[in-house]
Amino acid sequence: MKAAMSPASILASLRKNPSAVFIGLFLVWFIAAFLVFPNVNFIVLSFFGDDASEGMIRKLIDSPIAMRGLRNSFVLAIALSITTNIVGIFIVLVSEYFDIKGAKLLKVGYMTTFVYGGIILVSGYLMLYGQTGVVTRLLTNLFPEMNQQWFQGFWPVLFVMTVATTTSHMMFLTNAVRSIDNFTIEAAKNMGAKPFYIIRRVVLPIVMPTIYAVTILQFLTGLGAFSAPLLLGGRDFQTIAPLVLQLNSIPGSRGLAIILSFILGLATVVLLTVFARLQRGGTYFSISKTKAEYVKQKIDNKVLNALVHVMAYLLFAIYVLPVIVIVLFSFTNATAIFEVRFSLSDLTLQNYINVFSDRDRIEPFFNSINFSALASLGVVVVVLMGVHLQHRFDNPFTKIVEYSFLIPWMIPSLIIALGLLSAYDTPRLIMGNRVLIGTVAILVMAYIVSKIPMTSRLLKASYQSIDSEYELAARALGARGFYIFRRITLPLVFPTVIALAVLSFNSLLADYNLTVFLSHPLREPLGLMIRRFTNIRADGDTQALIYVYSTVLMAIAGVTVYLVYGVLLKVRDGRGKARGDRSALVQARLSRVP
Amino acid sequence: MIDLKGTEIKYGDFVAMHELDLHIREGEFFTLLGPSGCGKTSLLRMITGFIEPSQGQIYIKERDVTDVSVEKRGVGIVFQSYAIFPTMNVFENIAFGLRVQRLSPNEIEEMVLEMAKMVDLSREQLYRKASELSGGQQQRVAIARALILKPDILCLDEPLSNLDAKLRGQLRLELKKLQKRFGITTIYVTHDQEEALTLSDRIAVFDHGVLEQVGSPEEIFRRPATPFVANFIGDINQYATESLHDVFGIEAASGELGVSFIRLNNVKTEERSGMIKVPVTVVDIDFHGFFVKYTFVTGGGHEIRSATLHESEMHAVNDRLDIFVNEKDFFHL
Repeated sequence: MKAAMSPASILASLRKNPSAVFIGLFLVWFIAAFLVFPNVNFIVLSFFGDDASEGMIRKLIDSPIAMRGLRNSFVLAIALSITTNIVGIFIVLVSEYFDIKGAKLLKVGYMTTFVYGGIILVSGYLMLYGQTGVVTRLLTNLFPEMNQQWFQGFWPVLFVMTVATTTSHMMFLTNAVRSIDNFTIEAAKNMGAKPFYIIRRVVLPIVMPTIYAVTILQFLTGLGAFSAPLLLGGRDFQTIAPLVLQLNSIPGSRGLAIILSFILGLATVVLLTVFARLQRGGTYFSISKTKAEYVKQKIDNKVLNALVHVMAYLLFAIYVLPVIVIVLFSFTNATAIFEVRFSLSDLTLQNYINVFSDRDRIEPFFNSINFSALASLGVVVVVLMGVHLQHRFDNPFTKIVEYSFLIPWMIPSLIIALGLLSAYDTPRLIMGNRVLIGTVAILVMAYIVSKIPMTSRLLKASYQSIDSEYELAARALGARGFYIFRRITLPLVFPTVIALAVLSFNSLLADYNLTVFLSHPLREPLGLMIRRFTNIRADGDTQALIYVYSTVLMAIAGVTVYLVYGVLLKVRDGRGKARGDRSALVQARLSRVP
Repeated sequence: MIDLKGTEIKYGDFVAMHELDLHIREGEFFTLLGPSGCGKTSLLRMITGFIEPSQGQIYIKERDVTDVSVEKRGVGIVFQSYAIFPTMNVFENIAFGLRVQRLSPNEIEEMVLEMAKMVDLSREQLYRKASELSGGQQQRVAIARALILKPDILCLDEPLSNLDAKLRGQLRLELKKLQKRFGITTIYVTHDQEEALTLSDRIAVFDHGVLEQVGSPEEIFRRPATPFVANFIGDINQYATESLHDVFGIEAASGELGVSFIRLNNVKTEERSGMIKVPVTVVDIDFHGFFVKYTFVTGGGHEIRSATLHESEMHAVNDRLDIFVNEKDFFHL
């Protein structure tokens, strides 16, 4: 089906496919305008722009705030790599490896971060443990002398980031644990090995490459952390990303912001290169011809079994508590919220009525729905064009498209935002001499750009899983290019396309990291509003508002997750296609870490 | 019907099929047989039009179709996976080619119903989803879809290779029945010798992109043209011709260079007139149900294998007995 790569045959096939030429030209413009130019421009600015100066590195070294931010980011990244591995491995052991009572319930609890991530998750924990949070108030009732700002600084940031990112860790590792051949475990048992010896000598070495790879991803997550240090870091624990936001708005400090972002970007590129190498070369596949289905292992030692159960349920409580509190308090009146009191008589729908009947309060919600819907539609259209072209033509141009679509994966959202800001703050020919700053378009385009790598990776996997004989059969029956796409290819990938649009929509709904740089001043999206309300000293009413927003977002995310994993991807699998690329789905989640 | 004249298939520098001349007769069931990687699927794809020959011409009904696109060659194809479109029901699958030709809905319905009847698909089955079809039904849908455009040739690319042994046997019978019913020239690709022998009117055997032999199943089995064909088709005893005197005491061929073969079924354990007797010891027994394969060694340490119907009591390992061969059953290459 694929054309050969000689220039003559490329030209011949282009003549036969005018629609492909049109799509190709559009992609050239899109890639140049949104994936290449802003980032190249940003790098040039970093070194030669007005804000750059010869002494920039000296200025960076001399700035205690910037150096502390850099150090904090790396400290957080290292600490997060350790904590998520400890918690993540424990979670996978209790939910997948060991025979634990109620493992399914535990797993649902551990996966709650799937339905609430990013700034919602941070504000959720803030509502629980923050200065005016439920737990803090309960504690101050018991210990009036205690510091009400105890949930601030490095440890709370690390705690929230660990909870938020372990779900992704769990997704990677669960796959690896499930791929273990049960015969290898039975063989070890047969030779007298004890359960924890088997974990250490048989299980962990098999999943170790996955652990290395996930560790790098967690390190990157820690390095680029934004909303968690912003909301919980306090004065003493600011990391690169929030610092860039702060410096970017101070005249004279923009150069420092740019150089900090550049360091972040550079570290990301280097680490992702290592990640790609680990992912390529390090996976152990079962070499047995008759692999046995994995069977859960019993912990024979009763004391140890009880201890593992207690720890598993304790962790479950940590994960589930914010969700329960958010949902319950969203139905509780403001006074009861403020006094941290809960009784049936306090239950009310008034908070929802207040939100949905007040134009000012509901507008950010509709703004976010509007922007996210446009972006999720835009991203699947652009990626569908690119991936379909790659599928039909194997030539240098489609290779460039393929690799260009991965550019945003290597660039922190912070740099995507700053790149677009610096590229389109003046009229540019490539944009028809329009200035994008101050328009809604720049935010929607940034959303699209940020979702391109994940969408293209998954869509490509979906295309690759199509049996090539379908298209050959259609050709043999007389069908041609667009007819084959419309009748055969598109129906086959359609569930994945919809799933990807829904996933993007869900993850963009409460986005903060891009929004904070690029949003239109008069059309505030939800992420900014939640941040604004979380920022101020929250009274019962404000808290109720955040609880309502969070609950509605969790409901939307819950429906989304059900639609994507429970319906759409099952439809696709039912059509005899390969299972989804889980790591790419995890990538979708990683884009929502705080 | 189909003539390949000096055709060659190349992938870069790799020659998948060396210069080939081949004639396929109208209405015959012609099989391209060979091990994986021998070039048989590439050859089929070249005939159907999915790949172009690097040299040579392809004629179908004396028309040069070398540069004619796949849909204009009058070739129907059944793929290894059957490639039943999973997003369409059976009716839509069969009607696909007709819709591409923009026939009227009435014509389409009429033709699909007629074709369904010919391949034994019920009206109710026509509206089933592809995922609800059994292996046999999928095969019939794939054949119906390929034949509804009334092609001159039907090409089948290993359509039974992914199925279990029992289903493969059933579908083989069904396939033969359908081919006889339609009387269409059929080119069949397989690596399975048994499949080729039972289905085909003629077989072309390939190895490493080279045509080794073309002939009827019986010719291929009884008179293989090359050592490769002799070994590839059925089980066989192989000896250096010069050693035949030592093993069997055959004088006629002794001293000649080359390779000599005798099929396992021609090594008998019961004496018949005019046969050469060889005293042997049983060293191994393979029980296959209807028949038994024995491995013997002669006094000189040469190995001889036989396959006999399991009718009488079996011999045991270390039994000493006489086996019998007929000199005319040997062939020398």
